[in-house]
Amino acid sequence: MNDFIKINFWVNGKQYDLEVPPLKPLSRILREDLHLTGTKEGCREGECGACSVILNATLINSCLYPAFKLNRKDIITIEGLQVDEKLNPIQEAFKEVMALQCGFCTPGLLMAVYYYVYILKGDCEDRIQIKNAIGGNICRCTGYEQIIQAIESLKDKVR
Amino acid sequence: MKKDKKIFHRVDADEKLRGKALFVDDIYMPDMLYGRIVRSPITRGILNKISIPEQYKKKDLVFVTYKDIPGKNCVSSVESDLPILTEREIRYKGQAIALIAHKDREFLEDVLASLELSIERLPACTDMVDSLNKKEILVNKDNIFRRLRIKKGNADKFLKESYFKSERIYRTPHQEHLYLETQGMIGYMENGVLNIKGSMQCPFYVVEALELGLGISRKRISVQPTTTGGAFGGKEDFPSLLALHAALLTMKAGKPVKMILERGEDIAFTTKRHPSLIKQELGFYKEGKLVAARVKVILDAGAYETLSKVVLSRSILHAMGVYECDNVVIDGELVCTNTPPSGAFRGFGAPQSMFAIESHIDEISSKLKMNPVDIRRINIIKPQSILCTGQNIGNECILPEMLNDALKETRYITKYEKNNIFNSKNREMKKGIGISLFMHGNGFTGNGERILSSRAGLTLKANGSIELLFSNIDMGQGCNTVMIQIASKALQIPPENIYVGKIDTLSTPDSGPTVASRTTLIIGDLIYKASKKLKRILQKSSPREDDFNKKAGKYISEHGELTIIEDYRHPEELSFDDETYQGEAYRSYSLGCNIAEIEVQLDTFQIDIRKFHAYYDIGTVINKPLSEGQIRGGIMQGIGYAMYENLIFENGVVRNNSMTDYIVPTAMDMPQINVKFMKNKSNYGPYGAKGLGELPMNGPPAAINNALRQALGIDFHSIPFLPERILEVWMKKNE
Ligand code: FES
Ligand code: FES
Repeated sequence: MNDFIKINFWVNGKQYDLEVPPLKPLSRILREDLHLTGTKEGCREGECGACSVILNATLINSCLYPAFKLNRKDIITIEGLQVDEKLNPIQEAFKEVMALQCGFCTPGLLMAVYYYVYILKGDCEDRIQIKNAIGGNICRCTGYEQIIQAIESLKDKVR
Repeated sequence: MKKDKKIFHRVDADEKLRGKALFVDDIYMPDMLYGRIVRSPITRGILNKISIPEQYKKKDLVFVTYKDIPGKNCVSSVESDLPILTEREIRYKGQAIALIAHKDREFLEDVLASLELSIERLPACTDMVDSLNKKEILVNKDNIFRRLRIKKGNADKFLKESYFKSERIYRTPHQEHLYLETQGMIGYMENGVLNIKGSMQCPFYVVEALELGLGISRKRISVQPTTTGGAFGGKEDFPSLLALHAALLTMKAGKPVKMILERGEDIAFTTKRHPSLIKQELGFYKEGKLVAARVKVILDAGAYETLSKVVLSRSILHAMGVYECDNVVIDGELVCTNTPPSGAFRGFGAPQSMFAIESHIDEISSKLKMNPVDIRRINIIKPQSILCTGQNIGNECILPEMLNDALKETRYITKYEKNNIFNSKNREMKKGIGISLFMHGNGFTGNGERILSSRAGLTLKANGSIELLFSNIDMGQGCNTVMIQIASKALQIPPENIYVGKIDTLSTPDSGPTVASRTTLIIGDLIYKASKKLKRILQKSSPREDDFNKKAGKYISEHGELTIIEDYRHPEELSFDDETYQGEAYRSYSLGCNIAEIEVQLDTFQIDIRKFHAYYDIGTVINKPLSEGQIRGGIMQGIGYAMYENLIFENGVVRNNSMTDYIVPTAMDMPQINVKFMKNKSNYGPYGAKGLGELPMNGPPAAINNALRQALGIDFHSIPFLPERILEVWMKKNE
């Protein structure tokens, strides 16, 4: 049957030791083993982006990332975005222009925006680049415009 | 400078932005099992036997068949013909035949793969044309579940006498909701009460289904909706079935059971938008006046009728679009096919009708040598126009004004003429501008609201805060925010003092389903009235006090908490005859105008929407950013319906049931959309508001089609406009 493997990794600055099946995807480990249910699963095949997290400073779909690759990795999830319980500027911007509706795509989108704005230092005034940055995230509710506006509104707030 | 008033933020923004909102799959319970549905592998046939191989029998596997159903084996709906689990007859591939549950999900996969089924196959009709031609008889004598008719004047006579006649057939396909959160339910027993938590639009529909299927009183059923991750109609009827499945498993297992559909399962086997076949014969006088219409709307209900009758009813009531015509006969038919039952989807039968009539009128304009605007001006509804049911649209109909504004601000006519010149000179790329006008009837059709008799209200709590009581679901559209806003304005207190009570069907009043663009309109009005009543009561108890908190404090110290529930009252002046389809079909109609500017490259045949203009009359706009969000989302689904979304059915089952293969618009596909609200006030609805949720779905397909007509000079009679289909039609035309 399924052998378990030992892994050691960081999530939102906290270290974890787990024994899990080697093929268990990161999204399930986060949700079931660590009870960090903010990361969502919309398709489990790498298409919707709801499961996006930051792993060693890159944006990944956690539903496709298997446990056996996780050792020593450093992960940021939606639960790690806010500092001292205060919303971070991206979350504030989303709130301000109502860039969310049902909220199911929202955690994944916020991670994609976080990656674009803070890690890639992307341009917040270039609509084409912004659209590319969130191109891997499906939102079935909003029509994306308010999400784009939220990112545009970040131009003076994050540097 | 914009003089924007204070923005009313979404009340659920913080928890959703922090990832703290609990969706059904985020809930874990000790000892919880996972449930799966055993589905029919064939499209039509007779189930003789199902059995589990010996090696799986022990191992704590919970196994449920129709024999375990304590109540009636059907899912309550408008027509309760869908079985919870099939007994013998199988009408569609994927139909539920048994249920299994276990704590280990992998193990369930193994069981599903090795179940032994003995099934007799029967020939099927998986396409509505086959069913109409009676290739096989599936139900009744002719595969027709139901027929409806609307009649006004004498269509036969005036069609004969008309100067110009046009006959067209339009077809629209299935559409998948693709809400980002798949369907899910958790069931568990607690002190003899069945608890159901899950993603849904209509908690009391679920209660009714459980009552009927399980044969237990609703006093022993507690349905508690979880945060619902998008729905668009897809969580109107289907959750009743899934809740029954979860309930049957949990009752047999004696343990909590969670059922979450996989994406592939969700796309393939839950409800979809009804495919349609619409035949129109329109007759005109010489100057372009529409004088007679004979329309037939056929909807594919799928294998069971369920709620399709009311979808058909909305389809035929919207069949004439925004056009006034004195002589009309509209026939509706619901046909049975061996495909999963069709269900509710934003627009509920209207988008199909609107696509057909708006495309047809536009096509005729060129035949009559008129431009697309003039033919509309002559025929659109205006104040005091009479609709096909005999309803007078009243004075609030501002469609002519909206059309004028839209034409002027977008410079439609100039662009239309410029495009013609451009297209005559250019061989690589063509340009088009297309317009559509549309409407949507607000709330339940006809006597629906009277029958629903919704109840909603509020409680003045001991600490002076206000708890709002209603059972409609905020599935993203923002109704919780809007209700607080309405109460805050009516009571003149800050929104921070008001909150929405958690829904539990055992205690929350039944304010009806969250559908039909009715929540702000109907429930908002009940909340408004309850707020006003509270205000009066407090005023009476301390007439000289101005401060709300002090008034409330005094009242509470004397009488304790106060709950006010308002009962819906149907406006007396509105009446509708369900037999003849005469009367006020809807209290009010929301209106819209879309203008699409497109370019088509003649090598890729991809439509590039350069600009999209969107005008609406939704009465008073209660929350502008929320409304804009609804509209942009609706337009996106309309653009998807028109250009991308292509469910491929093979032998009655969806072949492309994954997010990789079912293409919906991404951020990169979306044009910038200019949204504009007309100033208007409705006689019904709180603060003059009208319905909004479904309206934006009705406009885009025809606007894009009409732009395509100008760009390429071709007439499309079906969607989606995929590049390969455009190429095909273009080649034919240029042969
Ligand atoms: S759940 Fe990972 S991409 Fe959809
Ligand atoms: S807000 Fe619902 S999917 Fe994006």
